[in-house]
Amino acid sequence: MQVDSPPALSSPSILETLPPPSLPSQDCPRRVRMDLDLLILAIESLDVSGSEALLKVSDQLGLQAVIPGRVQLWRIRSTNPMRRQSQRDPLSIDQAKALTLVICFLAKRLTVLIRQLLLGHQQLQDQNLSAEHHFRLGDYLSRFRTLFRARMNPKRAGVIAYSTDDKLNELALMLLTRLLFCTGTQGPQRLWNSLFDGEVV
Amino acid sequence: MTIQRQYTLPNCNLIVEGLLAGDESDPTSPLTVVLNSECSFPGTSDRLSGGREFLDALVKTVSAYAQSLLSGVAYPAEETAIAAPPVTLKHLDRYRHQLMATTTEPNGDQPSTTIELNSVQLFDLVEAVDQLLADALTLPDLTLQVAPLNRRHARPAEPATKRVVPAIAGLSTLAAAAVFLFMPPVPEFEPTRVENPDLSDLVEQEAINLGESSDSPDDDSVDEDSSTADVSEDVAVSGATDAGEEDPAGDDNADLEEDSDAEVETVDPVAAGIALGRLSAARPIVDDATLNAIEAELESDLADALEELTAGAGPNFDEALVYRVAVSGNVEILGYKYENDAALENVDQTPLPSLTFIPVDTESDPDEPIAQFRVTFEPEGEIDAERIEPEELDDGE
Repeated sequence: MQVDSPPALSSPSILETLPPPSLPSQDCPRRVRMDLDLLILAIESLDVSGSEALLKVSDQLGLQAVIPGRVQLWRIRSTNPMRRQSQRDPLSIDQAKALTLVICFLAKRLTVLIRQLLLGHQQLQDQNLSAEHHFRLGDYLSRFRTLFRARMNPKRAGVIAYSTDDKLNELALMLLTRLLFCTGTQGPQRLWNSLFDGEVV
Repeated sequence: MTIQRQYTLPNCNLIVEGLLAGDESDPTSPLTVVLNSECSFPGTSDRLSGGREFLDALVKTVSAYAQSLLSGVAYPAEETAIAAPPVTLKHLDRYRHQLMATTTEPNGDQPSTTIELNSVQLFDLVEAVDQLLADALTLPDLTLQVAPLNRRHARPAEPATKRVVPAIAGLSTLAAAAVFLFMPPVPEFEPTRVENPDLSDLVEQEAINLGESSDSPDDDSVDEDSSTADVSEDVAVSGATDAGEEDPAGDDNADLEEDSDAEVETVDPVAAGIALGRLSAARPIVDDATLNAIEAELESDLADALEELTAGAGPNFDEALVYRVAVSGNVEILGYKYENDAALENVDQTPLPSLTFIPVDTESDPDEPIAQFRVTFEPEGEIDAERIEPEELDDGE
């Protein structure tokens, strides 16, 4: 039998583990696009080679069809409306699922560091000390602030809300807590469902 | 045979004790009855325990709380909530959480235990619960039940009170603006200029003056009263004349004329004087015959108009009123100026304001030749127009 075109790419079966949300439209809501990109930003702040690891993990998970390479990854992440070079392209459900799985996978690898940082932050809070007293925590926060300011459009209303160091630190710690919950046994399910909280009909 | 399943995490231990179902020799077969479940946090003395009811409540509460922590959207309280749910979790601050459990003792007491957890401890509790849920060998009927919250539970980005503020501010600004704009009086619309467009028509000026003067007994002076009274009074004060004596007469006259509806555009003395000044540069009419004809026609025009104005009752002034009047070749009064004080005060008793016509285009130089006359209104009603020679004008100016 002769075929003229290559077989249609079916979405990787690993994506089937996450149930499709009953959204009013086929694209991901704004909050999903922002949350996923910010979580990846937090991973990059934890691990300098985070974006390389991200590509590698997506290959390991068999997600090449959804995230074929660096450029596509950049395009997917640029659907975050807060970004300087924000793309108007929609974020498909499959792409969001792929990012969710990759984030949880990477978070699991970073479990030890995430727990250290959160426990350290707790201790600093108990002693009324600033985050800079914990070397690794201070490192994470300053890297997060730098990355955030380098990539986000400061004229956006959503970004203006994080104009101060304190606000950005708060955001970074909130993302760290979310990453901790992604490391669990049911991490992907919990993250995936939480993304659409208040969005489904 | 009772069996214990234990889920151990750095900061949380969850132990479930129960009876084995089926083959007792197979230690991997699931539990059927939960006898006791215990949740403890190493490093602290806190410990929660209870039966199946407690375990179910713990699983449900912890799972929902973890989701709300992940998404930032508060999970609604259970619709079918019993009066006091056995296990509750709530925020103390951004990084602290309070776990509260109410257990029922066999003797009926309901002691409640409160445990403060940080994020890592809470996560370990969630993870212990998740491992129990994922474990098909302990309680296969318990599975992870998470689903995204419906849109109606979405918390608005701003609290309602904060969102109402801009609306209220906008409304109050509108109200304040309405109040302020209500206070100044509504500008009065005077449709006269629109209603008599032919008055501005140069060619028909004379015809209108003649034709209309018969049926409109110059109500203009009534309108004029309001606008010129101030001007003439100011002048009167400075000139120290018998203004008080003249005013009642003027009022009477106004009353007399009030019942007339027709309105004719009038020119107040100030504007007329300005017009006259502007006309000083105009070419004078030198032809004697023309001047005589203009003089005669001016006299008769003024006499007719004066008769209409006073409705045959005779003039209302005691002194002779002397004006300098500029007239065009077709006997249109282009400007006038009082020559004595009585003339200024009693200008409304004369037909001059209503007969005067000031061209709209005042900026351009007048190219029409004019003649100037000294017009005297005698108290007896006689009108005398006397030619003013151009030389005399030059001297006077």
